[in-house]
Amino acid sequence: MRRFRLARKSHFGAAIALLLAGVPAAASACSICIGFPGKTDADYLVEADCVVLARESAQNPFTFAPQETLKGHYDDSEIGLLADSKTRRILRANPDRWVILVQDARRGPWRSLGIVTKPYLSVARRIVVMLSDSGRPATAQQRWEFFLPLFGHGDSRVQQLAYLEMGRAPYQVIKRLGRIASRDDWMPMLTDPRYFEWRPLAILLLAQSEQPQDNQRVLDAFHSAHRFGITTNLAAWAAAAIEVESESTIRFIEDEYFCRAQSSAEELEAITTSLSMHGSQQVPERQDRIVAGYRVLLQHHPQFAPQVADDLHAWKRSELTDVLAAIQASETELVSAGKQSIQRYLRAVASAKESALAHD
Amino acid sequence: MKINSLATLLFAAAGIAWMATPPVVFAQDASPSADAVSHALGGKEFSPYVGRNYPTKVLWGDQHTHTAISVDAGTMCRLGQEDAYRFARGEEVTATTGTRAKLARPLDWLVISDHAEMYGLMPQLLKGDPIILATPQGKKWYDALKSGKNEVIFATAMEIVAALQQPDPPFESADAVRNAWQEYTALADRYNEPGRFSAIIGYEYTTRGGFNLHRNVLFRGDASVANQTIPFSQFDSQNPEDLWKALDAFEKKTGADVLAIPHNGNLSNGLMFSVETNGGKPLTKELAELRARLEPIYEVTQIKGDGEAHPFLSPNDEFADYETWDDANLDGTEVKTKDMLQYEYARSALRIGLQLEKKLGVNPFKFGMAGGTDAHTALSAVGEDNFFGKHSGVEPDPHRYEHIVIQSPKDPSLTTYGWQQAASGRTAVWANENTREAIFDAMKRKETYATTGSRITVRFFGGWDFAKEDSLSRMPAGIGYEKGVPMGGDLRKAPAGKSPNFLVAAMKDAFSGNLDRIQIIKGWMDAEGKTHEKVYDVAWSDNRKPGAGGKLPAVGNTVDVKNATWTNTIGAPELIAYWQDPDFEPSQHAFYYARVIEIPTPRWTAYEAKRYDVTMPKEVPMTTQERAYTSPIWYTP
Repeated sequence: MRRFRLARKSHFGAAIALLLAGVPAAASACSICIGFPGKTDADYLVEADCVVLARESAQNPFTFAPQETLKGHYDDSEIGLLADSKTRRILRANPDRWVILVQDARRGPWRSLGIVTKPYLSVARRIVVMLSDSGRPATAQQRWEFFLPLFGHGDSRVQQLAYLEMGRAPYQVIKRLGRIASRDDWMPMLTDPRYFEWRPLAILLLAQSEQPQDNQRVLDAFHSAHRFGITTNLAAWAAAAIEVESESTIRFIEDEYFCRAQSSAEELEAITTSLSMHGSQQVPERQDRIVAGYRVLLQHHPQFAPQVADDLHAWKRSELTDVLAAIQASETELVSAGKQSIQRYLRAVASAKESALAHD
Repeated sequence: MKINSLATLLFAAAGIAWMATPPVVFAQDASPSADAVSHALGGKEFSPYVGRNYPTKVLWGDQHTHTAISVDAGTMCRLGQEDAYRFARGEEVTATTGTRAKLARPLDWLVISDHAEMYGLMPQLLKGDPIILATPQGKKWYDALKSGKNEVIFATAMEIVAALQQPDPPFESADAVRNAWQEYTALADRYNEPGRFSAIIGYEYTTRGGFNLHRNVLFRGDASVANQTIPFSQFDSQNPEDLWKALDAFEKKTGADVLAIPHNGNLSNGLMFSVETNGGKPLTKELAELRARLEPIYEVTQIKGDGEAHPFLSPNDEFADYETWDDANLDGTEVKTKDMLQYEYARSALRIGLQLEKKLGVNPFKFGMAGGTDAHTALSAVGEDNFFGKHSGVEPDPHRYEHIVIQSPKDPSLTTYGWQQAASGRTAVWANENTREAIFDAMKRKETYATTGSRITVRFFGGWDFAKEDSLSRMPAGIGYEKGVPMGGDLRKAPAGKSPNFLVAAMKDAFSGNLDRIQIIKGWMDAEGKTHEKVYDVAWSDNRKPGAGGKLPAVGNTVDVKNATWTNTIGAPELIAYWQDPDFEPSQHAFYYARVIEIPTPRWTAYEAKRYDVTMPKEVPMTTQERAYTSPIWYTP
């Protein structure tokens, strides 16, 4: 393994955010499945300037009136949100429910986080206190530690929030989750069609299973995706298949995706993402194999040079400088940011070599 | 068809003797007045009905049903267009989820309005249509759908639906669409049986994204007419104004007649009845004329909510909050704000139309009322006791009340649950005969009304010369047409010293609840150009006396929720009224429409709770008050 020394933090990507790359646009015309939200309730609570607990105003119908301020300062100005008919009905029928409203900036627009139950409210209060107080937002790690015990919570909204939050964790944390989480906490995501877009985390958890039938399911799904050109969740299935059978899967990827001219950009994007995630784990043997795979990729699809350069830069690997330099000098069409990625990588390698010579 | 014939007979011709003392009139006990008898028997012919040429039949139908031909429905629904016709005509079919299904009463007409976008793709894919298989994407999808692997099939179905959200179709499909379209029009011709069942040809134009600007396009003619085009889709344009232009061009080129029926303004987030063009510029007279001509009626009620009035806009209307869906746009990607509501609801749009008429010289929102289902199950089934849901994912099931119908990708508060589905609606058309042409023509002249599913029979006439005695007539329709204009009509400059007066009559659905009341809703524009509205109770049951402020007490409630039953011991089987506008100002533009309200009856959720022995959350409504909305009559000074 050839590593160049570079003073840069190693690439530590959030697994699911990356693996969602192949998810299609929300199917609004039929609304069969639930889109994967870009932001979680915890994001809104942490980022908010003001958070209030509210119900419909008795004096001013269709308008929310705060009952309690959970965060920041509520300045008594009218909250412009419409108290819609469904919410009004649910609140009237259930005195022990509220809506949580957040405001990003003072006098900015308000946003509803929806109707909440007591268990959810309890978690929301803790998020406000533990993750966003005192002007020092929690670190990513503190956040995963916070949500890890909530995975599989009895309240469905808390359960969903924890699922979404853990989906942002690095692969190492997901592997840890796989060891401790009950199968019942994530398996429904793989069977409920409405959560089709939420599956990547559950797919990665399935890959942690030691049961042969689970491993076979992963491999079957990956091979089916290839056979039928399916790109939705392809990155997750590829990553799971690499976990289950590393060498044969990467060889399959080289033969069936990288060497094939017909592979679509979406397929290649998804597959590269799965390799990138595994390469970022800093497991030397696997990273070596992935770098070798990248060489095959670049031979057939040089347009992926910028992504490869970014990974190699992050992993401090110098194997493919020749290939990347050749692509840089060639007619390959790259966007300017892509050219810069390659240039930055090549410069870093050169600089590391000079530095090493100086020390010699 | 017995009930329809009876209704027609009663309202158009003879048999009903309306009781005295308006506004409370009960038909069964009445003695006809001398005038009424004279009117009925005083013609030149022995038979009072000789030469009668006004519409005498109320024909019940749905202009908005989807089948597996629609790309979205096709991912779940397994019933095709022939199933939809058979079901509408009263035959028993088996729903996608295996439940046997049959209507209590057949429909008189149906428009299968499958989505224009990639029309017929799913069934064609499944049967391996060679045109589609010739494309790499089509072949890939076909292989996947035939793989036998559930995971693969579902993922592929999702990809196909997602393709709808892209600016371009996944492959060039004009020939495939034409084949599917012509198969459909041929089927429609086959099922069209003049005098018994009208299979009106149509499709739905569906704009991309969450802002519902969808329209159902209907053809007056048969396949030979409809086959001169293929459905205009979002891949042709995202802008409904381009749809109007295309329809206009089609009419001019072929001499054919078409119309478009918008729906679900409540999910448009303020765009359905905007005072601007789609591009955000002030509305022009040309576009206003085009819309007014091509969109004579509006689908005011359906499964995805009722859009007659919103309680925020009409705070004094105690019946305004009916099956309201008002939290977001169609796909839950944008939360609704209060200022959007006025551009979404029919009553408010009718008011805005008066303002636009003053400004442009044309009222683009001069529409009549229609009700549809928008069912994506091929089953136009919206009886409270026979409700098959929005799509096959919410077909009858013990827990469908908690299933998600639409979930926002961004905001959990915008989730729509199964219990929120409205078992609604139907369009009633006043026509001379059950033919495509007669129904289409009635729609064009707005002689239609919407109901929330119940078959309430309603007549509504406006004029200058109605008298109290007219409400005693055995032939209100005869008098109505003789002295005034029917629903959808116009009253021009008021004769000196006269106020418009109205004759309104309603009869209960034999299978549903008695009638609580008839109301007339007036909207008008004052000298400053501001609009107003007022709801008048004009006929009611049970000898109730209005209380302080003129408010009529509630009719009561006999619903036994636990057993999903009720009794018709309150309410009235028929009501008729003469009403004169007490606040008329001759210089002010105005509109008037009638709303007929039934007594409370069990909602579909109550039937479901009883049938499946499930307990639903407290917020789930268990009773309903079915209703009818007539098309307005406009007064123009």
